[in-house]
Amino acid sequence: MNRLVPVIAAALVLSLIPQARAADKTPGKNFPYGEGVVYKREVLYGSFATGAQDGPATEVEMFGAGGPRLPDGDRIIFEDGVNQAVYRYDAKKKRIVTLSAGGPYGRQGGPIESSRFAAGGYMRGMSLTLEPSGNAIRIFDRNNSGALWRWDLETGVVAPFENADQTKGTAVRGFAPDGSMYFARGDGKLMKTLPDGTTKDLGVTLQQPLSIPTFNGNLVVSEETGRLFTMARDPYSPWGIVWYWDMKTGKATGVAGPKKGDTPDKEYKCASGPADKVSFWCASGLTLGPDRGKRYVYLGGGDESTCSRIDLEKKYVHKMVRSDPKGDRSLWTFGEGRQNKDYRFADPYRWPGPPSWGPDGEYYMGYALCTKLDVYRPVKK
Amino acid sequence: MKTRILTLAAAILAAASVRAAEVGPETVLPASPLPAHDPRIAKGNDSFLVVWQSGKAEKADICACRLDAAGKPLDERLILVSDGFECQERPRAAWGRDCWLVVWADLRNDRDYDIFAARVGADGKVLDPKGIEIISGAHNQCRPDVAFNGTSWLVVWRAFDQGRYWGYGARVSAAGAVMDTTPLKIAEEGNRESSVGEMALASIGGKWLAGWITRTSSLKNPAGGGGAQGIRATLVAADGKASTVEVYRNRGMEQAQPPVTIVSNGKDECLYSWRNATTGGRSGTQRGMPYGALRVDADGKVTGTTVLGRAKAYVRQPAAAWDGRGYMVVYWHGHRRDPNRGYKEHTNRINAHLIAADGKYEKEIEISSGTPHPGYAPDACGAGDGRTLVVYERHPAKAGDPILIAVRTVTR
Repeated sequence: MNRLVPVIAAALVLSLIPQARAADKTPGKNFPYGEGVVYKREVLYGSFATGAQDGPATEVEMFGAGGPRLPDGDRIIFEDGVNQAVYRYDAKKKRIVTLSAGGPYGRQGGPIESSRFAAGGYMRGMSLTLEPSGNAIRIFDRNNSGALWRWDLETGVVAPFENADQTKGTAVRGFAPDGSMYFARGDGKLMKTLPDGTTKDLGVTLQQPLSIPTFNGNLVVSEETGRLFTMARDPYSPWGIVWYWDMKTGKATGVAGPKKGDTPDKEYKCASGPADKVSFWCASGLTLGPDRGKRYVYLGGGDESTCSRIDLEKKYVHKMVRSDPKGDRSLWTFGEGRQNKDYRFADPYRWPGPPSWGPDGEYYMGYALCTKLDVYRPVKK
Repeated sequence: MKTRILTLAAAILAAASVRAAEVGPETVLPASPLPAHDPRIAKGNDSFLVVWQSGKAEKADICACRLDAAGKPLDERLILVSDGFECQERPRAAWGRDCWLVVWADLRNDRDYDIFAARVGADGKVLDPKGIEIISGAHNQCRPDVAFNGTSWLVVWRAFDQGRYWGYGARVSAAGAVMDTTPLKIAEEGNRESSVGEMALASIGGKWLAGWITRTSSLKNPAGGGGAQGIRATLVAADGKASTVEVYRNRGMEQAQPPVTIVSNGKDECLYSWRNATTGGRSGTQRGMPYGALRVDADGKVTGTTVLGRAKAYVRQPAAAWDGRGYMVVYWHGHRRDPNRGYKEHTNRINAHLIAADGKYEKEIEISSGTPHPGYAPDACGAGDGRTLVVYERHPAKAGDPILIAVRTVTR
């Protein structure tokens, strides 16, 4: 028995080291990922109503609470672009607490409950980014000249992160997993702000135009592939709905969707199909999956109330469809589908944001217009 | 030339006919243990009671402080109305015969909201320190309001049931007893996709007028943007019988936004006010739009409407008061954009629209400039002699300082 004590102690210590567990989270190895994976949908919270009411998870009302959710242990933190609110979902109590809401506006740090900032923007709030450590959230304060705040989750205090003028006039910006922020100035110069707050010019000019109304100015940073992905809601760009810039050359390359001036192919409207033919109905944001953009990027479906996976290798778009439409309707997969209500997660106009991926290959889908968050967990391949 | 002179003279006469309004200095109330939120004020016999929520999210209690008619605090130490487990939030108060009834949403069951209340005597003593349970049970019962009709209080709240929110109420006797153990159904929406929003309440002619804005999902919203639509009202008789009255018919994209506010002139009329706003839209931010007010008599009949000017910035959380000579609708606003496309420093100011007793719009005044202390979430209550006390959250000028409650008098 005495021999077992150090073994048990070592096992206990190892179990308390999050990095040790994180190292095992390999896409496709420790959870199914990629082609043929089936996901089971579970409603985390939602009432299908809009409003501003917290409380039990099935009785809450929000309005515009879309965009990425930030898993933080047993909690999920998210924002609401219309109510200018930040909420916390407590998974243990299955309850949502409003941390700040309805304003007031301003530029004042302090405890999150009493700080003032002007984050938020389009219908879905997309201003929060969880730091890789999981200990803090960066708040991109769009309405305060792009100021950055750092919200320490342990102390609950919000503090200015860097000079607001740094990103003034920013066309696009995005965060890397280490907390670095990439942004492009109006003239196209690519800048990088390190986690310590210092900013450097990367010596690259992104191919213009940058003035395309990219979705809330977001860059999706894939340092692993050296690409900066972004998207526009409609075919405004010469490169389609989704495109990326090469971080070394600044050259833009189209990924999916019709280009500016193209006539979309009706057959492929909101459907699966070749990436250059598929069109989208007010797509609502772009995210990387666990492979960090090596093969796939994901697009929120917006008005079509679904989402799509773009295969960068095969140059093909698979939309989310039911894998067993006549059986278990909670099972979904990325497969072949047309613009049809059978392929939607909910009724149209619910405005889901892009999927936000968790550490175990699961992803979250939030809906801006019906106060709802679903989690899709991989069940088999 | 003659026409111009006459027009100018008419304008001068019209301006002179609008009474001046004097805004008094700011008085800061004693600090509560935690940051102060959501203050409300209610007049008693010869003093006022300010109630607010101390804390947020993790822990919140209900605090109060009495004021004299000049806005001077009468209590050196705050009145702790409720410090139950978890959060007590969104207090509202109304004077009865000889005490106030304070109501709030309570999370002491650590599961969902219930409605609790406590009476506070004219001397500031809490008469029900453990709280009166107005309604509990499964699901949310939240966002209460309260008014006294001369005989009893009516407490109203929104409650979650069968997938959406409905409006309920219960009368409370002057002695603090709940008279309706089975809640009164005050408000409902016929459409299964719609919910009753946060209700406001005022007493009129021995009855109560409850108002709310419908909350609906996007599918059934003709405006296409989802969220709020429909300005609704119910008249509740002294015996608790509720009857729906039509006060306003929404016209498409107006997008009335909750909460509504209702105040009685103490005789024969209520002012029912709200704000309108678009809901984000393609351009990215909300835009300010004129908002309105109705005058409603004791039979629920609309006797007049008032357009409350066109605010330069969009309006938040209007709260109405009757000062004995006319109405006031106080609100906060922020988000002042630089015309040169960039963004200016944001601030929260508190302004008020003055309306004559006959509903004629008079003017807009500034209550708090927002510098150096932004103001937020105001409420107002008239003294009956032309004075109104306006309370609001006074936010700190620097990080780490607490949010306090401040009060100013406005004399018409």
